[in-house]
Amino acid sequence: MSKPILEVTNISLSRAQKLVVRDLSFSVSGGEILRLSGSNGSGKTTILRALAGLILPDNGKVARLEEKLGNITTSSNSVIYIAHRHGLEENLSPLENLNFLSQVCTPPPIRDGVSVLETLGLKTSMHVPTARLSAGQKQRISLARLLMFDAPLWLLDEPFTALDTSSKKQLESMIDAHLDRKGAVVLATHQRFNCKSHVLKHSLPMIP
Amino acid sequence: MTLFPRAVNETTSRELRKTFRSPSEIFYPLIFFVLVLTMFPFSIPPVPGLFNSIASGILWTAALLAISLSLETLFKADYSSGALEVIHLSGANLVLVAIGKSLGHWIISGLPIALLAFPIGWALDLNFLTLWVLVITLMLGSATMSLTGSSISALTVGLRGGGFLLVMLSLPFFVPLLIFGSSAATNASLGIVPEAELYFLGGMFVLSLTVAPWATAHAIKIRLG
Repeated sequence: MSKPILEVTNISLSRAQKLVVRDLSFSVSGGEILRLSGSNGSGKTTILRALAGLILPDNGKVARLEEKLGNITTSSNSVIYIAHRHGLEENLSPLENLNFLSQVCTPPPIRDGVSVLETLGLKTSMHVPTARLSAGQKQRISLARLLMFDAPLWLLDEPFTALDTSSKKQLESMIDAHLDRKGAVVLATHQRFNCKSHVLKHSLPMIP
Repeated sequence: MTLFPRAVNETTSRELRKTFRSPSEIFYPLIFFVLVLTMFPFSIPPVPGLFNSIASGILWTAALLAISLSLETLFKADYSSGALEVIHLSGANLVLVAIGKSLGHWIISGLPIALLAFPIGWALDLNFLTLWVLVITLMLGSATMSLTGSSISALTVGLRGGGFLLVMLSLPFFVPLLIFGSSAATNASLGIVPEAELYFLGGMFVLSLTVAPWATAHAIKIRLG
């Protein structure tokens, strides 16, 4: 059994001064996938934001272990967080959005924007302003970051929303490939999906 | 352009590109600037020489208000689309991103306003020396405003009433610029060389360049968390 990539001990989180998560602990190792489930408002997005390091827990500790795992070199940038919001500038094309990120990010990307967009089947729309694309296309563009950057931990917030059947299959195979490389995935979704590995589950209770 | 680090260049060119695709962001502050200036002649008694003596102060005030109003757009779109979050999590150096954003904002708002002040000041019968001093002080002053304002803009982005808060918080920082900028132009119109004022504005610019980008980077982290 490999060492955990992510270790969460007794965290409590609040959103807008309301406690949504109490004393949550889990750990995820390389090659494992954890699915957070729970009804709307149970704190799935809040947990993912805390795991990404965007918010600090009220109590407890989130530890992302930075070490060399398989063929993934970890570094300061050891997590990719795909949020609800697509995170794209609407006046710029998908390619311009990705190129900007690849220029400012540290460490440098492992693949360039053009090849990633081609892989995702967005070759024809890569020069169109993002505002003119559909919700599903925008979702696929935001998933491009998973292929562009090398990070052991993927945090996916409702990644299957708005995706068509073939894009959903592609994301499933991307997740499988990532797990094969001893990466780890934490995702929150209400949808059924197929995954070669065993999916760990954690259902969140509603805190009144 | 190899003058700046790559992250600064990239951020600035991203800002310019996205603004030129929806150019209303450039024209609104300029139109506001011109509109405020055209209101003054209606409200001032027709005493000979009166308007000429206060023209540079009015130009400076109008420029300051136009730039304050344009600061709100600096982070708004990136915050609400989640792009700011993506940039932060990609490990980008937020200090360099902040400098790039401020530079882009200055090219879009401060620079055109400073240049537009020349023909407008000329139409208001200011002499050439005054016009040059006015343009130079506006360029320096607006660059300082873009830097300082970016920190406050980042701190108030996404808040309810953030736009109002932004103007209220940034005006106190801009008052010294207004005092020294307009007095430089007024002194020039009286034939006094405004060295001291120009040094002060230069000093304020250097101070804001050394402090504001770090404050902006920190403010972005606070607003994302």
